[in-house]
Amino acid sequence: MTDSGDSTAIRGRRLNEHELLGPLPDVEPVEITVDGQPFSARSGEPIAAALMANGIDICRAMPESGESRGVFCGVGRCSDCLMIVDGVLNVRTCVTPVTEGMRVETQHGLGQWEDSQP
Amino acid sequence: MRTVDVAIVGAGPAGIAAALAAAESGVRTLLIDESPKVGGHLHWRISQTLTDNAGLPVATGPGPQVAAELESLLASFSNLTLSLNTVAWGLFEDRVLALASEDHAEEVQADAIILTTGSTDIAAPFPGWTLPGVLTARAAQTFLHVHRVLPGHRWAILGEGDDADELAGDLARCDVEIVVRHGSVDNFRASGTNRLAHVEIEDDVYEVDALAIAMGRQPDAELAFQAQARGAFVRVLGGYTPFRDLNGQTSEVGVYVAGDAAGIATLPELVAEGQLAGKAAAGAGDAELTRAQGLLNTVANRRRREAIERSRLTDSLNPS
Repeated sequence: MTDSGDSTAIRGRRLNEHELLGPLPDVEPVEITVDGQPFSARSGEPIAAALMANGIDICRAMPESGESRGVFCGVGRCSDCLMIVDGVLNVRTCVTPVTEGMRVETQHGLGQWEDSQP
Repeated sequence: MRTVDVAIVGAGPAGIAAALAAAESGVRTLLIDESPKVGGHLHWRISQTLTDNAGLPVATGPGPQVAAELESLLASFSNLTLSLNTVAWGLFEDRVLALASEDHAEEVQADAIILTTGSTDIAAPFPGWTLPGVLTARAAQTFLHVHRVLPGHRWAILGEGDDADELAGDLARCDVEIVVRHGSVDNFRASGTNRLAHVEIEDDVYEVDALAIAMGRQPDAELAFQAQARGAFVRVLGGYTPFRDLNGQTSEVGVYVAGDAAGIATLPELVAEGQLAGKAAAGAGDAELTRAQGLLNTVANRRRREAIERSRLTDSLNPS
């Protein structure tokens, strides 16, 4: 897999240095897919952080209007950042950590369970 | 059902102070937090400094560093149990707390419960507020300082006051541009296709890729109200807050509220309040309580002192 860290957009969104917090500590990278595309994430970080670091700001589309939603409260309260994760609908991506091989998908409307009847 | 002497919900600065005070008294203490780490807003509101007049034996410094020190302090008490990744979702009769973690659910009965559940960002709606790229100040601080990701490079800040100033300072340390700051939702809109691209203030249009709503925070004492504690909207405290006696006890005997959950406070204030509630909940004597009340009065600003004064009116809530 290619290292997704070589895009400038990505490098531009990771806060590698901070005057009060110091350098970003090294952690084990994990690989996830978002709508089938592979991306690199930091072990232990929430899905939404990995997405944002990779330039992805849209988590889902509203059931009726189709309007986009992304991270709003960032602390698991507002449900704006719901996505489909490993086939499970309505996962709060701002408080759910990434795991190796995790499959993340944009949720369109209410989404559909993989094993449900058509 | 598991029983403890003192259960504390929320392991931010107030909750940690309460847990340490209770544990020092020797009682069986349980400290609960929904996140994986203790420290609460010390991890995202990093520009605050904890000075030793707050009474905690830790170094001053950036929040995460203070949180790490507090965590080892907590670990030094064998009578203190820490339950992280655990949500306290209910508070029922006879001080029974309902807890849930990913693979476990239980009820815990406590002689005293201290709610140090903090605050929630105020988010007044405006046209375009649901666009990706629009987020609360707390979300912005969490992504910047905890997750270390920039939500955007060209920012607008909506709101005025301490929280907006604090966020502006945080952004200044992140090498991003603050394009515009605006005080209220009047004549304010955000626009963009699928994602935030502009804010419009009256006839002026600004190109931005992130917008933080920093309109202040409101106390979050939902569990106290679920337990039927009485309260009122108190503007100076930031919202709907429970009535409390001088030690932080609500109209429900044995249920205490301290810190931001009882009214938006400064860091030293909420630490002092946590300590006081922790001692009271652990059954400390009058002399120790008077000392803890004195410490709170020393660190409390004028608004807080007035609110504390007013709470005297509610002393009769719990005749003992």
